[in-house]
Amino acid sequence: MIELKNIEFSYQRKGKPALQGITTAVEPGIHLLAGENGAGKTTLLHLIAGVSHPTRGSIKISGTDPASQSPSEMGRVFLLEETQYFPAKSIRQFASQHSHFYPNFSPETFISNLSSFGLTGDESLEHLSLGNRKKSQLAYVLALGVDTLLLDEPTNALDIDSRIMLRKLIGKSISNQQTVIISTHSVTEFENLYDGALILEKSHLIYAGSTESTAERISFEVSRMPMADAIYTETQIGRVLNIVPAEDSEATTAVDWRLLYSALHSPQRNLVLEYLNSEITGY
Amino acid sequence: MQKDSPTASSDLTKATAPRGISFKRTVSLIKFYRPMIEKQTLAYVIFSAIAGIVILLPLNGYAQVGLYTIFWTILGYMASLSPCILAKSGDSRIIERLIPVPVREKYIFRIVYFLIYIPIICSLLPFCAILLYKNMPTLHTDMFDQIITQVTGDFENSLSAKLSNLFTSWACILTCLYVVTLVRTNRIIKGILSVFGIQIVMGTLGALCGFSMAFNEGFLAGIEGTSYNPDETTQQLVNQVFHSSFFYFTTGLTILYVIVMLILNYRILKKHNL
Repeated sequence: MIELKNIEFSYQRKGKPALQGITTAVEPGIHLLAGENGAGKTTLLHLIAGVSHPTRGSIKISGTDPASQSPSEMGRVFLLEETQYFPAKSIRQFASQHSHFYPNFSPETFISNLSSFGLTGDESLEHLSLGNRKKSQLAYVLALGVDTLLLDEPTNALDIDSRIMLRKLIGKSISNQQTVIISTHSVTEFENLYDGALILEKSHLIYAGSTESTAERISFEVSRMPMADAIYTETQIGRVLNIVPAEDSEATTAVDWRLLYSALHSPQRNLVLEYLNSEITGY
Repeated sequence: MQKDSPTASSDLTKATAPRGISFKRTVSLIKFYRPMIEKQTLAYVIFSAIAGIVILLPLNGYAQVGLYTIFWTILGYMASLSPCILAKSGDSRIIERLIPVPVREKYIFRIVYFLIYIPIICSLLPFCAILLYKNMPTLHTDMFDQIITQVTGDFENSLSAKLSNLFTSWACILTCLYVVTLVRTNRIIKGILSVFGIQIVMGTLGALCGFSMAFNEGFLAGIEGTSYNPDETTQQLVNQVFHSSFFYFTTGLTILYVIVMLILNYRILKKHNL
């Protein structure tokens, strides 16, 4: 479990904080990390990975501070940034020089992932396109078997087929005990995979909740006209998307994180949060 | 969903005793950096061997002096700029920071590699060539002899010269290593510029040292109370420099700078927010 307590972080001593008052706990599962540009998503991932240190507050992954850089804990966390350089000629070479630090690395899964992406692993990383390089890296990190995997905009530069494949591979590669946090602007990419979400706005955590607890409190309905009991509506061509209190819905619906994100960035935010009735201290 | 419980650990990721260093982890770290190290080592050894051969070529004095100066200068820069290899593949600092190895071991690897291994492979072969030259009378020219005598004289006789040369080289290497680790963009260029910067500072200090000695010893035109000795050899002048109080001061300053940079290089691995 990842525990964040009153996290504050500033890039400069007297600068505006990039993150403020972040307190939550993240259980194992696949989680969405969403927020507008500059909200602090990448910063939060850096703090969880231990490559940055919070100005205030504490982070614990299974009871250990990642910034302590103890080898036993660092071997359980990996961060794949949006643009990251692997210092090797090919991804296979990188795997041979890097994977022995991660005891759960599965070469079979790695090869299978590469094959799913249509790569052999011997391609020169320097000469690959951005998208193909990203696929190589994703094929590798999904095979690491770390407890906590942090992905920052993993679908950037990927074509449509590769995004679909990535979704399949994440669903296949990640176990029940692993925690994956996916920071993305493409909220709908892995929508049905998410076990929960953290939503940031202007350096603050405005919502943190599991899919289950969210679905227990609100429902997501589609209608021709705005529903009378809707607490938030969004009109699209030919239909209206509604967020309604769960008790008013006939059945539990799948959580539309994209719609919820929009609702939490709308004037109806406080009303939505009231119905969610979740304290921003944990799931 | 895949297999459960990804919580295995290995000898590599187990914490060792607080002051212990894991040999296995060190080997793994070397394996991680091997693609960079192999290329750099090969290139440096080849160039170092060429420099050594050039010293032994039976050329006239001017050519020998010229080639020696060029090659030794290049070897110096090869050592000083060697940390730029860490920036060759773009910004891999996140990957390096995430490697589950204690900061202490990462630091020791860097220090041993850049401060000991690299200077040795840069200078060992040419220095062996210099010693060989001294014992091969057929190669000697008067002009080159003076330089070789001075170089070997520095190392054989003067502790201050040995310390000065060593710490000056380390100062440049550590500065480059610090900058390459600190900055995110244009790491190689900034590493190079940082070395030029520190050399300008050291050169300025050296110039101040020279001016100080000139005022103490007197100029050719004469300052009341001083004398000019036309029979002084180059080696005698060099010895005067290396034993002057100002030189001891600049050497002490260089040593202090190296200590500070050693500390900063550790801190940047441990605490710097990437």
